[in-house]
Amino acid sequence: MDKMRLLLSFLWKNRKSALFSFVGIFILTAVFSITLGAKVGYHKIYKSIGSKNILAVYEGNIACPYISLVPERYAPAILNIPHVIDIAGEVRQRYSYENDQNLTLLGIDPDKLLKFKDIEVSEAEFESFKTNINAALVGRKIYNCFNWKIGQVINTFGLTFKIAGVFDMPLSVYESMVILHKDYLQQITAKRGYVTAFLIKTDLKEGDIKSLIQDIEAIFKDYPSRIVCRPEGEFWQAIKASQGNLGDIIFCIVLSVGILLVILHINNALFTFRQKIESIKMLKKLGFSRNSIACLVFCETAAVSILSGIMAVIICYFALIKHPYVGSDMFHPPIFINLQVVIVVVLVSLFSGLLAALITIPSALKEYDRYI
Amino acid sequence: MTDISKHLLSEKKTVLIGIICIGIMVAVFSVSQTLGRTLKSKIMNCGTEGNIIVLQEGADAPMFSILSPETYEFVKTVPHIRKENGKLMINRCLQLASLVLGHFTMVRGVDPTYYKMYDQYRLIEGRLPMNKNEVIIGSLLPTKVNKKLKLGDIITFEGKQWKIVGIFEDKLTVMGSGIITRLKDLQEATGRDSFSYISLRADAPENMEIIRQYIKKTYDALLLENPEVPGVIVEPEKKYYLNEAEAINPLVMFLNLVNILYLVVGALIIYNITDSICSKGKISKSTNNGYHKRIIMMYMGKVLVISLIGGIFGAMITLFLRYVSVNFMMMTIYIKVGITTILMGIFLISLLALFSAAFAIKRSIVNLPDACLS
Repeated sequence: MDKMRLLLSFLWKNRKSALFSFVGIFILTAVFSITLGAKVGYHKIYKSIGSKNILAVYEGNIACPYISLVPERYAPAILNIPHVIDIAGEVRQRYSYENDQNLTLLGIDPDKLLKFKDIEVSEAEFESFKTNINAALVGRKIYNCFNWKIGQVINTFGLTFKIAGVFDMPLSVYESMVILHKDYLQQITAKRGYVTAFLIKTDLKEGDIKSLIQDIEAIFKDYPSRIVCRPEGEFWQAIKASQGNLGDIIFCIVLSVGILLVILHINNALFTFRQKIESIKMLKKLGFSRNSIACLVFCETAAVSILSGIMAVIICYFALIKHPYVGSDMFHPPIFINLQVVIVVVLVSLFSGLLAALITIPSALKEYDRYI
Repeated sequence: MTDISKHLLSEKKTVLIGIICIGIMVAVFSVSQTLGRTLKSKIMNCGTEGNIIVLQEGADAPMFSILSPETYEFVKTVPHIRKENGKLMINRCLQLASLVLGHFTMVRGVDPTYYKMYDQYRLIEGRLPMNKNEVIIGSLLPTKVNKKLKLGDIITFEGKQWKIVGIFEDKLTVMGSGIITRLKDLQEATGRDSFSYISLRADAPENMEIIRQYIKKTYDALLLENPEVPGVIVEPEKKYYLNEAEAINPLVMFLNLVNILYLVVGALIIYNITDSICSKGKISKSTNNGYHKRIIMMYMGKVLVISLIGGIFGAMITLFLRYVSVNFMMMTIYIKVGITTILMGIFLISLLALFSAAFAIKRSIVNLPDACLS
């Protein structure tokens, strides 16, 4: 208890430099948490969005699946293949929106929507979507981002839709999408008779789908472009791959901010240490031993560094866990600060705080010995 | 100068930390500036002055646009299109992102007029594609796909085999790592009769707006009669790609944020270093022989020397990084930092260092008698 009181009084005496150090580390740790959250969010939006028992049929030579074109006339033939229980055509398009923004559009037959997509939408809103060819269901992310209202009619570059409802599919690329009727999207984007991909439901288990894939691909053998059939997850991975080194760029930024954070911890520890020299002299005069002074300096430096780091990540966690989205675009990664991120940031704060505090000990001992 | 060098040598550790710190700041500043600027300019430079681009209305990028052969037939009839050797300067382009050796690569199928309408590329080897399934490749494509490619090599994409008949250099646009072939070959390979966009050149700059209005008005009338026909966007190509480049802004902002953080932390470190040096002895300003000014100048000179050596160290790091290639969306770029950017970085960071050092020095100036200086 006495030691705690001593530590606090020591802190109070050096409050100005401690506050300076605290604020600096707090800000940088918050930035580090946000960049790390963006890295986790970047991978998260593409995870668990492809159902395992759904296959996607699309142009395999195309790197960006959005420009894939598969003729719709093949649908009946696919449906006749044994073990295919259902098929849906899906149209995708990237579309311009006001002020240099853009929308990601998904067109699907309303009857197939809930069978193939795990979105959460109220029954009434879905019914309203079903009955109007110009109606749309919009993802929660863009609904909030563009401040849209249910019933609002959106007009953008020849595309017109009425917002019939809002759907949820947290932390997935779908939340940035506008779901339209397939026929309408085909008309507006000059894709009549074509879909971006067929989605196929099968009663076969994951390990047994190889022959089914071969049967489906065989249907397209005379088609000029190579049409492939793959688990839906792979279709999404292709979209992620089209981003090139974006994931690596985010990782480099995280790493570079992390290094900066460690440097700042050390810098602040050394800077604030100089403000403590007078206190060290005073404590020696009061009869404090060499070890207890070293311990005090260590504890104070570590406490300020670690506490500011931990507080920053906790505040970021509570501030962003319910509102992780930045921007409206599908490709803008959400800042997803989950417990994993919190633990990593706490560990980095502990490591750099302790390292910085350790570095100040020799200086503290030197000052102790120098003062007679 | 002798004083400065003596001081520098007497505090090797501090000086070394200062040099490393400034070196990293200069490197991060130069690289992030170059990365953001290069990515943006690669898109911006796609447009050529005097050209007009026609795309499907609403398409977020040329790659997502689909135009029908009928649209081309109509655009050909538009007045004021420039003619060269009796040929209209109008080009259809099917732009795709194809998988080439597993890498995301931009492929353009174009009309022969393309080579006359765009001057961003320079054929450095071979010839233009003239026969079936011939391609010319950007000089950065081998870097992208991690494979040496030369004239006569066969590459596979879109399920077909293509012969490399030419290599072009394009330092300005995304096509530097792309592939160009004949429009009909790419259409045939992909089972498309459509194309992505049409570009045309006006016969005079003042006629660009006339052409734009002509196409727009005709389409507006057409849409009134038949609302199911997709509309078109008609814009000067330069303006269109300038807008397209805005898509890079979030990444540029992110890089700038990291940059600012480095500068702030760097300034704090320099402040700390100077403060540590100054705290060893206070500077008296009560002297009347200007001695304290000499001390201040010496401290500032010391920071300046550290900044310059650190700047050179930073420049060396960036020189090493010029061999690192980055793939972003369709682009492959090398982080080639220009000398101006490096010099600008050194100048800015030296200024920042001197500024933060001045603060530390100011703190240590006190009204003491000269005798205390010793």
